[in-house]
Amino acid sequence: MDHLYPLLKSVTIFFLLVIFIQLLKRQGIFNDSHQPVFNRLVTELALPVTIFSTLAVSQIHADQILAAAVMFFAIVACCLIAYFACRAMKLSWGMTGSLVMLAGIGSTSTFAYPLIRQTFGSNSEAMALGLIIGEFGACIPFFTLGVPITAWFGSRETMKTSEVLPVIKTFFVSPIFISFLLGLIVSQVPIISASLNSELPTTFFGYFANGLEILVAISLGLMLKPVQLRPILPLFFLIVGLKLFLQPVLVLGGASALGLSSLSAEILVIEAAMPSGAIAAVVAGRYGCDGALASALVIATYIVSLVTIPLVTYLLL
Amino acid sequence: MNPIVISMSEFIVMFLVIILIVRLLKRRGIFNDSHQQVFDRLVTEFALPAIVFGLLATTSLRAEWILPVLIVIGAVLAILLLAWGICRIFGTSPATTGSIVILSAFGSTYTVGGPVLGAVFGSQSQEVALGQVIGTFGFALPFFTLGILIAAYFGLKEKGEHISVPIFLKSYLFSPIFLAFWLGLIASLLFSTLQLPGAAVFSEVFLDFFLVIRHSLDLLVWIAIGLLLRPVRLRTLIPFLTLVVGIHMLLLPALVFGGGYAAGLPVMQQQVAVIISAMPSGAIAAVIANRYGCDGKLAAPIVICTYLISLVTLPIVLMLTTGI
Repeated sequence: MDHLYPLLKSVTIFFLLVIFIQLLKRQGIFNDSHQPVFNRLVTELALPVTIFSTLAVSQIHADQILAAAVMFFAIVACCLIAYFACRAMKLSWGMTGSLVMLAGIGSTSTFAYPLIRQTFGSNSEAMALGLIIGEFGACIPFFTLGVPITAWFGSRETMKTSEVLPVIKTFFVSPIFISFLLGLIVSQVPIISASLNSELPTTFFGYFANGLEILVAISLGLMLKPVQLRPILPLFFLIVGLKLFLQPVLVLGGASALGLSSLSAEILVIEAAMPSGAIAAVVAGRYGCDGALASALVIATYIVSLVTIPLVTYLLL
Repeated sequence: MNPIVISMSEFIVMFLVIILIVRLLKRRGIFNDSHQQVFDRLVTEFALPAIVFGLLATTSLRAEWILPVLIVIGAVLAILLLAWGICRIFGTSPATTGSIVILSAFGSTYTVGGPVLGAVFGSQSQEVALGQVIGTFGFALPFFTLGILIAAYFGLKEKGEHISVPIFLKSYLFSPIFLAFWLGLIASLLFSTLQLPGAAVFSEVFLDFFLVIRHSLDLLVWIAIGLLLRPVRLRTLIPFLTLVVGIHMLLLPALVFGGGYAAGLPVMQQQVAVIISAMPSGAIAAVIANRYGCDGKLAAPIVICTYLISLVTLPIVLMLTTGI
């Protein structure tokens, strides 16, 4: 239990911050129109800077890629199970597309990275590992395979074809991906990597890394709203079961089977235990799947993850 | 080159880069003018109280450090009065007076003062510990109480609104962060007094909650400053800038030095008090000024200019007063 204490503390503080932002929203300090600003501040400023500064001073190992592969296959397994469950329930193609994405894709960038950073530190081996697993295991596969799959479901629902290339292109020119790529490149150039490890750049990047948690907490705090669960209760249980419970079990099984380090297993479980990704809901809506259902389920998984993240990490680690 | 100047110039470069990034993001449409208020309120109603509470909870005031703190408080009060008097003589508007008064009295002790002392004397040194005490009790506490009241007073006066101190104090003291702090502190004391299980865990979570907010302050403040910046006519800026530089960056450290000399402070205490007092005007003060209706658009460029000017004034003040 002792080794879990930093993580549980980070989760608690993070959710306290989110609750606090909700209070401030009720006081009128924030409103819904502010959410896009904080979302973009996270995805276009604080997160890219943190990703770059972490990777640029890290050493990349082959077993980190192996851990990313474990994450990828766990996501694929959850997506497939969700697909068969939806077919068994005779759900529409639009709903199926949304549920398949939500069962596999979690809030890796927006939630897992800040949590890992807060628990282990921004220049830690754990943070670099978290970034490799998240980007290679979840983000890149989602934007290259997940988006076309969602579009396929959407086109069957709407009987129209969708352009998926612009979305894929958007990801590969996004600040998050560019900073990831730049970080990887710089990490292979020892002179630049060493110079970025000195005091001045560390302090400078620290401002952004320190701001990340708050910006993410504000973003999440503004996103959370009451949702009507009753009409979608079976689907909610399906997603919670697959995303919040089965996926962490699968990655832990994969890590054990491949003999990965305990740190790799820990990071894999943390990333797998994240609530469904808001980006999956956005993409589902954009490509003709059931966007409203996806949004409601994302918010619901966020609320439930308040309990499931500590529970899953306590049970599995 | 003087180590304090090297450290200061590094901070200036970093802050200017952050401001530049914010300006670029504004050009890209990520920010617009309506977001200014959100960041102002984030700083004043969320991050700033967390800093003060966090500092109060973690800073212990030794008996021998009370005197330098009192000297600094006395100098700050004198500067507040002087700045207000000069603004009265020149007949500046209430909004401008509010900005000038708080920029003249309160410096960047938290954002720059502490880190500069750490860079020069070492993060575990006595100087840094004393600097934190002076920063907390000499500057942050008066700023958090008196400074905000002054800004609010002049802000309301500018709008021509009736100033009801009880209503203002009520909304100020019952803000969520205030309540969170007091409730947390009471719970923390109850846990430890009654020796309930989990007291240490609760106290750690409570302190870390405020610590996470504290760590985010710099970024939030510089985003707010970046959003505040607008083109200002030099003819308007230069007189006020000269006034703030003269009062805050030259007279305040001189008063602190004079007070310390008269009171016979030890050299180390004298040095730290003067260094902390000679910091450029507070970036947080500019955000507070804007939040409470004073002239934020004037305050932001003044803060940035005092940062740049401090590269010249800081070594002069230190050489004359402490010989560093």
